[in-house]
Amino acid sequence: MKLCLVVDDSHVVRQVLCRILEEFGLKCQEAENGLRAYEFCQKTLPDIIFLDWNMPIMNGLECVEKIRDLENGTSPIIVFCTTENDLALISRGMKAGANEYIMKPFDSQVIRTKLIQTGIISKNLKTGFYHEG
Amino acid sequence: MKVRDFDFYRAFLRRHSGLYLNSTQAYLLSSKLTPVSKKWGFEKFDDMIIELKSFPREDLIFDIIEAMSDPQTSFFSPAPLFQALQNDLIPAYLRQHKSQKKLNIRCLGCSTGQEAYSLNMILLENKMRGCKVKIYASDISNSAIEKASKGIYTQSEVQDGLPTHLLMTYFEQHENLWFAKPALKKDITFYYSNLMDKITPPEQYDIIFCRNIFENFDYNAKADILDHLATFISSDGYIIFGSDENISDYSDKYSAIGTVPDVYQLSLDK
Repeated sequence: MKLCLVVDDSHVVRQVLCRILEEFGLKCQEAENGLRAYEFCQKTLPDIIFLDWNMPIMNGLECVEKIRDLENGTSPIIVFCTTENDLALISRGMKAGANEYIMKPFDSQVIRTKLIQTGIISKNLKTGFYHEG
Repeated sequence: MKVRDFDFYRAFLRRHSGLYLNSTQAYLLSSKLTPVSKKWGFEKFDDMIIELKSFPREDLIFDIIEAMSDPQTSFFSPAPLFQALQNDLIPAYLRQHKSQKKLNIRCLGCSTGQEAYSLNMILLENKMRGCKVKIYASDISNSAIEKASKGIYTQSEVQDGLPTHLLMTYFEQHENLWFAKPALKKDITFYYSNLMDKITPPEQYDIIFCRNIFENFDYNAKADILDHLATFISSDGYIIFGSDENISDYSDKYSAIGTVPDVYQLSLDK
């Protein structure tokens, strides 16, 4: 089962994201800020990380940079998931090492497409169901 | 709605656009056409039919066809098909046609443009030197064509399927809207066309996209269009249909390539 780390200071957002991701067969862990996420990654590197930008203690941008500096830190797919929707900030996030960027608000179709496009899940063309890529 | 009126609209739509309604879709007619009737200032919905039966104005006919066709569409959709096009089919096709000076692509039922722009991004990312790309994209809805030509999309539209690195490369942001850059727009021509008419321009196409356009056509109209289209595909070109079209029930001119669903080539012996 692929492991997903959901990082957001809002409990509600984490809950919504986890519910969507679990529907696609991913196992979810939560972190409430960048520092917690970084500490988690020092022990276990998830397959994919959904990361908010604005959080107390350590923000998403710093968190990406620190995770990418870890040994094997380039392996997780990192997807920003934030209300920041300015092109300059999107570029900054991508340059810092994110693979994808989702602007809030979003729905489960947006998530599904990003999961397919990043190779986390794929569609079984015979059954029409989604499974791990 | 009276049965007589439904029959009138059914025949009317079929004659003018090839759209086919079955008898369970009466509710669709009144819900989609009531706004048109209001826009044109008819006092009662039934009054519109009187004009249509006597001296229908062309603009009114356009509005009715437009209201009845469905503009739902997103970038790089469906994702598995576009992944196959992007990673496999298109790069391989381009390698085999290295010396070709011109690449023709046709999008039928292009709606608000996402499909044509997605294809062009794949082609631009594959940078073919010395090869001119031309994408001809048409739809029966004038308002869809207008939006497609402008190439302006909302945040939720670009978010729906467009990979972020391509969004950053090919779009500009103004306030909360995203504008396709001139480099992305220049190879694409958007225009009105009706599937009941002949295919324009009459080129040989390397790729023809006609996803989800047959939904409302009856058997004969669909079979005729499929046979007509086959004369415009280059010998090893691709034609891409919607899922669940059951193409082989309508025409023997196409064979599925097998590795990717919905992608077909001309049958060798036809």
